[in-house]
Amino acid sequence: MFKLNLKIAWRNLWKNKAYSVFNIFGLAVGLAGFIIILLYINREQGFDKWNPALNRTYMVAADFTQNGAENKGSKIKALFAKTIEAEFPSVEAISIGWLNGNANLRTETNGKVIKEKLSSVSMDDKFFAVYPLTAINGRMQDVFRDKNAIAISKTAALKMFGEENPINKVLIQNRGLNEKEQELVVKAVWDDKKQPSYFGFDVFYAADFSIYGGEFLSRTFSTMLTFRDGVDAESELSKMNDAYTIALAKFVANNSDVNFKPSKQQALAILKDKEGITSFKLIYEPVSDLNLGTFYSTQAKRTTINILLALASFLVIISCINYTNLSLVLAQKRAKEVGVKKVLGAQKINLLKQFFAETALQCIIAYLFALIIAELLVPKVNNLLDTQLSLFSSSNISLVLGQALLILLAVIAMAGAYPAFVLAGFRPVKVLKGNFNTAKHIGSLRKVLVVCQFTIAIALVISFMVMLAQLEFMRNKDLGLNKSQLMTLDIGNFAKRNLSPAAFQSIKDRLLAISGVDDLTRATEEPINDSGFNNDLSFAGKKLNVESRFVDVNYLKVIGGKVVEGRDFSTDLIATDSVQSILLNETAFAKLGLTSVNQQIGIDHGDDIKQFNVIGKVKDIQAYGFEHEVVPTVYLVADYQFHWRRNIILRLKPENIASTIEEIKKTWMEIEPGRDPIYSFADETFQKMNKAYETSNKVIFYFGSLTLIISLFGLIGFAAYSAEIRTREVALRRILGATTANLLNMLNKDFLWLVIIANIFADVLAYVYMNKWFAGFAYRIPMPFEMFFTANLSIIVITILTVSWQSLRAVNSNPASVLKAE
Amino acid sequence: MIKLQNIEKYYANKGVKSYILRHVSTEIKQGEFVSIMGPSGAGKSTLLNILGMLEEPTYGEYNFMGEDVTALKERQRIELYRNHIGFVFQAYHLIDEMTVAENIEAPLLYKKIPGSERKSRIADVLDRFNMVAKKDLFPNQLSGGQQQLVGIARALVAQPSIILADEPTGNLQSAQAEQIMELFKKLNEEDGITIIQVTHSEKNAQYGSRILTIEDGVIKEDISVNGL
Ligand SMILES: Nc1ncnc2c1ncn2[C@@H]1O[C@H](COP(=O)(O)OP(=O)(O)O)[C@@H](O)[C@H]1O
Ligand SMILES: [Mg+2]
Repeated sequence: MFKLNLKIAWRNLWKNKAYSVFNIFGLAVGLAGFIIILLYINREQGFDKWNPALNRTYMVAADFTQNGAENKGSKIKALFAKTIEAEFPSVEAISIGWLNGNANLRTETNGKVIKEKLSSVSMDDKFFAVYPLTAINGRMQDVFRDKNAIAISKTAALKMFGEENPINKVLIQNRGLNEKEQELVVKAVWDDKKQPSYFGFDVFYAADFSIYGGEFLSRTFSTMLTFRDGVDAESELSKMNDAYTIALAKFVANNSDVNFKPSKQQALAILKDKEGITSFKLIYEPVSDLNLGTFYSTQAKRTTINILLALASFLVIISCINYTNLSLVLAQKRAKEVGVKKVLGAQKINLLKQFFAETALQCIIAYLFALIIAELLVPKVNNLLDTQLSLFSSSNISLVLGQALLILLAVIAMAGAYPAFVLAGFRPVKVLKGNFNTAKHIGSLRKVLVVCQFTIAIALVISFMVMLAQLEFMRNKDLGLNKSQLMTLDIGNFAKRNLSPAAFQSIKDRLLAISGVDDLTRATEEPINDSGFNNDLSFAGKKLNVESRFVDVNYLKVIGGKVVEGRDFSTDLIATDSVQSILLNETAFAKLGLTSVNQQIGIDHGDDIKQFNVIGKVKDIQAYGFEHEVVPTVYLVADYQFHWRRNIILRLKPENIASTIEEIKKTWMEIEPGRDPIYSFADETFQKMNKAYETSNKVIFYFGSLTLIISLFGLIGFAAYSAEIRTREVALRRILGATTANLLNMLNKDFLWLVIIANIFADVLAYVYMNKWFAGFAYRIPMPFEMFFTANLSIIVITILTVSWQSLRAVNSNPASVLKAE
Repeated sequence: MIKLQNIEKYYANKGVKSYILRHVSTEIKQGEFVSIMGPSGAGKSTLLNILGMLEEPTYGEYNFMGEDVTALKERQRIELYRNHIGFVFQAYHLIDEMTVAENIEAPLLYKKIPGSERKSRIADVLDRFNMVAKKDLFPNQLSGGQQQLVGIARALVAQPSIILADEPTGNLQSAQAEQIMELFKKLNEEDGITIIQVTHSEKNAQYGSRILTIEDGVIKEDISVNGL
């Protein structure tokens, strides 16, 4: 019976090829999307699961308010670890160090140099008690035995040494303050594929705290601890909070007397008194939670995952709806078969089994296609989301396939149930008597389904268009500087960072000698970044904390900033400009209530306030992207001694950029040998800032297109069938004198209404969602309602075209032959 | 075998009852070959459908082999079809997606007859109907008469005690019709299968042993036939 059912299922598929193709392809695309998102989610949730103590392992840091400013560091003083080790036996191990470092490493074998920028972790010797990575080669603990020992991940080892055994091989690194060359010997290898880590590091070496000497305890470090099994972490952590507050108070009071036991209250008072710390609390996060969203990151992955999951579910649901709808449409054709079978003795359950078998067959075919589609799309998705997903080559392939199989079962149940019950429920007598009425009009359930589908699809299309409009705005908005061909070159050598303009001149001349370099200047930071310095300005009794940019005289000229009032710094007046002139940006003007230039402004210098003359007003420069308001900023050309000009900013000529860059690198290697030049471009920095938005826009685009395509597939099948079962009616109307337009109008009407209703729902949905999205921007466009209109109109036109295309066959058929055949 | 008592059937439409069958009472014995005749719309098909338990009477009692059909659930009714009734339709109603052999096999599958026996029974029937060469064809590859032969083969293969046939030759040419009628007669006489057919043709009715004439839902005549 099963075999026969399968055979019949196959023949039915074949007979209704067109519908089957739409059904299966739609489902396959939906499933492929879902599988890819499963891959992504599995990956994102798969970190650190190998660690048996994972649920007992925490990262600890401090959150405190000092002198009115909140400090949300991700690190905490070494004092914390010392306190915990001494006072908390519930802690199995605690380890401190640096969890996110970089290491430029190279190998030189037989003259062949392999260079890699790897991410590194260096922690103290308790680290593997807290984070039990296991060596597949060598011993992890050996890295603590020797200052030059290093452990390396399997993947990184493969990059650096190929297939050779990496143990006792040498890696060369320029390390430390003066980038001295150091040879590191590989003592252990761990398998980063089998032990995927949230921290994602390639090499590990022992942390060296000796450089801090007596300062050690007051220095802050990444801190990770594991509780003993069975300990109530929450209450223990809150006890730690108090214990550390007291320890810190004793520390800042410089009183280590064992009899000095301040209460928490007293401790807080001491902290306030000595350090200006008005509030203090520990931040702790389970390591298992870090990847999905940490205290510190604004764009939590959990949100991304939820959004992706929602989109993928839409896709699958829409494909199921399609499937159900098309099956219902075809059900009319199957009525006779059901009737006959029942008369031959088929029970309802036999028929249910049969129809489920049919659904299952289609779903399995769709699933196989989905796997192929997913495999083909994975590289593209990796590109888009900046991930390293893999399907067939992934280590947890069976997990993914298993999950996908569950989805498949769910899909079979969802997509197959309704049509199966409808079909199996047909009463034979109605069918056999021949007065079984093939529904001329669309059943109400099907109407709801179509509206749902199109609502989701249209809402996604509108969202995409609105996002695109905002992105376009972001790409084209005047940022207050000219970001093209603006290169920032990092000065590596500390001695070269604090040169006066005169001392810098020789270096400047060498770079300017390169024909592709138009001009150059220096600043403490890149133009599009936090400058790293803040000052308090006072004017007319008002105080304002501003960002301070210490630059060279020609800074604004080089970066393309504009002085809208007053004057820029000038080389001729450098003697006065460097000691008493400042520029303020528009925001600072507004916040200080400054109405004109040439006013005296005080800058707080710790003990005294120095007066400066405001010589000009600078057009706001959007150094923080579009999410944040421009901060009030002061520009100074003063002080090279304490405000190191770490960056050279070069304006390049647009021609032959590549060769210009090469020449700059070459020249710079001559100036600072032994280190690869580090540089960046302003436009790329901006692009990176907007990358998350560009990415989500693309994701929405792909999902939107897919849902739309799948929905249209549904519509095509639906319209084709509706036209088919109305062929007779159409023929009759034609004989009665209806024109093609009349007939198309008649056939379109039902669908059009549905799509119009879906448009209205989608508009509301997209409006609400986009409003929320816009809330994240300080600089945004007004809600572009014309996008809504465009989307609505296009969808309606597409609907009419689709339905008409499918209806034309019925409309154009010869009425005489149709009626004769009946 | 069949006992109808005071069967009534009406459809209520907007409060108005339109009667299709009124006070139909009759008895059909095992081994009879009954032809139901009457003008179009008289209620013949309705009566046959009630006999075949495809429709329920509004009133009245229907006894099939001693069981009160009106009291049966759908499951149980289907059990009855499976075991006792074979249907033959004017429009053949073969399943388009199944081959000749598969169509014939279908009722056996639902009766859960083991594979080997199914094979031999199908081979038997195909042989008897001279359709061995056609067993892998689909219904649309057969002539009307051949399709109806398959329809009858399908009804017979489950070894029913009664065959209900609604205008089995209505769509056929007279030569083919004659062949079908001969077959019915043979089945009736040689295998003792009870046959109830609806027909418009006096000639076809003559193959049977008894003619029930229905007009406006009422049995007008009930005569026995003494062969040709
Ligand atoms: N579902 C129904 N609703 C209303 N009237 C029906 C229905 N089915 C059949 N009829 C009517 O019952 C009458 C008898 O039909 P039927 O038994 O098919 O006649 P025939 O003798 O031609 O086979 C006809 O007038 C038909 O219109
Ligand atoms: Mg009839």
